[in-house]
Amino acid sequence: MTRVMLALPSKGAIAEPTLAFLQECGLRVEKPNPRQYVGIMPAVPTVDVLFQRVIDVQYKVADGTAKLGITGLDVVQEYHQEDVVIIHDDLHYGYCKLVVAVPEAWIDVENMVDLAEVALDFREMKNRQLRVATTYPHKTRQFLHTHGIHHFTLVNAEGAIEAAPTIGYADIIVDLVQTGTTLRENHLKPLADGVIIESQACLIGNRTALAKSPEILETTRILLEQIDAALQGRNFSQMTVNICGKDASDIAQKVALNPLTRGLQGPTIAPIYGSKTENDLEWFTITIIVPNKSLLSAVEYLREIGGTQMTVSPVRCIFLERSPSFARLQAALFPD
Amino acid sequence: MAVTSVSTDRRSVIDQLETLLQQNGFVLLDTPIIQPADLFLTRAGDQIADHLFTFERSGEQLALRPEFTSSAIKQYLDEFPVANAIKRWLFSGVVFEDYAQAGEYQKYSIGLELLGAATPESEAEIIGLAAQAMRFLGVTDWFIEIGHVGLTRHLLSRFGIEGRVQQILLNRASDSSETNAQLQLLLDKLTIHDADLSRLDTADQEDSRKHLQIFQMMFANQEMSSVAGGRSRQEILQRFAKKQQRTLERDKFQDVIDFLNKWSQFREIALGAFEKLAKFVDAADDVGQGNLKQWQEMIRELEQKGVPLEKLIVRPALARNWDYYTGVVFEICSESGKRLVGGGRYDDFARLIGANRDVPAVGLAFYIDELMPLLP
Repeated sequence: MTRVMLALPSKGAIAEPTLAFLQECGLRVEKPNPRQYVGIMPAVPTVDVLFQRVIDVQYKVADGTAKLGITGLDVVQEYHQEDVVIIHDDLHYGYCKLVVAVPEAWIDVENMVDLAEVALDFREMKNRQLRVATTYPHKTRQFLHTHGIHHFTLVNAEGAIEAAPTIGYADIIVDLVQTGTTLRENHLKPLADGVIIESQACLIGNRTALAKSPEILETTRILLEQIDAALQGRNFSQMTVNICGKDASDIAQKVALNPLTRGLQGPTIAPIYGSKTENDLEWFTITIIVPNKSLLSAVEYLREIGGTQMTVSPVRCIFLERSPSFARLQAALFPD
Repeated sequence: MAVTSVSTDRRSVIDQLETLLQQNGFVLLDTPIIQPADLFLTRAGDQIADHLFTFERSGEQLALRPEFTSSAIKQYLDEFPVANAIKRWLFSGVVFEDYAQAGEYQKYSIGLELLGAATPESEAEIIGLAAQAMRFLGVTDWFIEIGHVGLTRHLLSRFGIEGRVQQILLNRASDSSETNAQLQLLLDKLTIHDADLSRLDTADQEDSRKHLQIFQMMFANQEMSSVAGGRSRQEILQRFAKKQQRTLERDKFQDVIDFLNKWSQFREIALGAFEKLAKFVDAADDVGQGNLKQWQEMIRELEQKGVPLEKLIVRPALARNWDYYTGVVFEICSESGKRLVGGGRYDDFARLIGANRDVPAVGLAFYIDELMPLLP
């Protein structure tokens, strides 16, 4: 069996969340020696884990050292690599935005149109260009151009970019923002229409390797099955409820009347033995899957139709007839 | 990429054109293919900035030439540092633009520059030569559209709105892809609209308190010459005031948009057009009348040069690069809408690249790759 190297971020904002996410998907990663950059995934023995810097993950995937990787969508878009295919771009963690931010004192600047005008003012009145500090030069350049800002100098900086306007080596910044606290603390404000990338963690793969090797593709499918099922499962809860009624079909009818309590296919109903009442009614236990956001509405409806003793437990996985992400990957790899 | 394919036809067309233009007194010059990017970026033509083929060597930002004009004017300023002289220059070679999506990087271009002459005759000379070239090459499917950036700008300025807004409305007028809703949104962003004002009100307590603090800080501390981001307190307040001024002018914007809509729809065959055009220009408006008169003279001149009038179409808002043309602009197109030649007058250009005087300049470019399929 071909072994598949999966590159994961070793440090940075999405390193820990990635391990937590994989664990939630039933894909726990074990790192036998904390000082080494390798690990294993007991649930999928064909996978070897390689820890890399967030930025390097995609380079390892692009050059084929790793066949799969998890990293931020922002870096994938910034350092676009020909042979990298985005397998799953909605892993629901590691959220951040790449935004244009200006000093708070610029009370006249609220949007990109204002900024375009300020860039012109710099040029016409100060005879110099607007200086933009960023570690994302490509996306920044593109974004500024599409907003009519053509006269600017990019100041490449590593880390502590938020301080650049205060220190004075740049006028504005383009940086990743999670909560905005760091910006505020450095007296900067993001521009509302200045969001360049809305990023989160994503799973990427080496296009050639996936297209050529059925074994690598199979390992990828196993990972995606787990990931899709876990992401699906997050949104739902399993409920059991006891209801008294004439017979199973009578109860089924009542429960199914409300789309909320119909479950994914329909209610599962089981009789509770020895629970017949004097007026020939019987108790049943109903099991349904309910979207989390409608849980309380479901509870209230079930009460209305006589339900009681309701239990709710989280759904860890929902496997559909096949993994939707894997279907998308196949379509991307083999267009015919 | 057409240029790289071996084509004896193309070579022969280029040779013929060069010969014709040289016979008309234009001197063939070379310009470097690689230049500092600034030379092309400085040219206010922002459309270029998007697609300029740039790269970095030893910390310097370089670019492959996207056109000949910038280099030509630079060379002219080097040769004539003090006063203008009339020069007729011809350039021929590949020019580069980075349209990576379309896989298109280079095109063949032949450019003419008539420098140092400010008369309508010089414009007629350039446009007439372009028409002559069409006949010479045996192209039959063509017509000329002639516009006037100078007049358009002048008429706009009479609405008395602030220069930047003028510029933006002008750019948008030639971009038919934009909906009115998009335009209104843009205008909102240029002004101080309710959302901003409410920030100073009570809508968002924390935001407004912060705003107020900054305001107070900016007014109170007269000593503070510079705040973060390389802009002084005064600059920020000035621009804030300008935005407020614009907000008051917001009503006039619609008048300008209405005018531009009518103006950009105007399209009439040659001389007859001027009677109708005159209705747009106030009789007491000397500058406007002067522009009209010179423009008309130029077209008469073309007629005398034997350019058939039915091929001449007056379209005042013809959209070429609004940023750097200053007077007459023109394009030769095929019936199917392909641009074969384009050019115009750009007297400000020398100033844009740092000169302290105007250099009257009129020029054109032949788009050889578009011309080829139309040859007999």
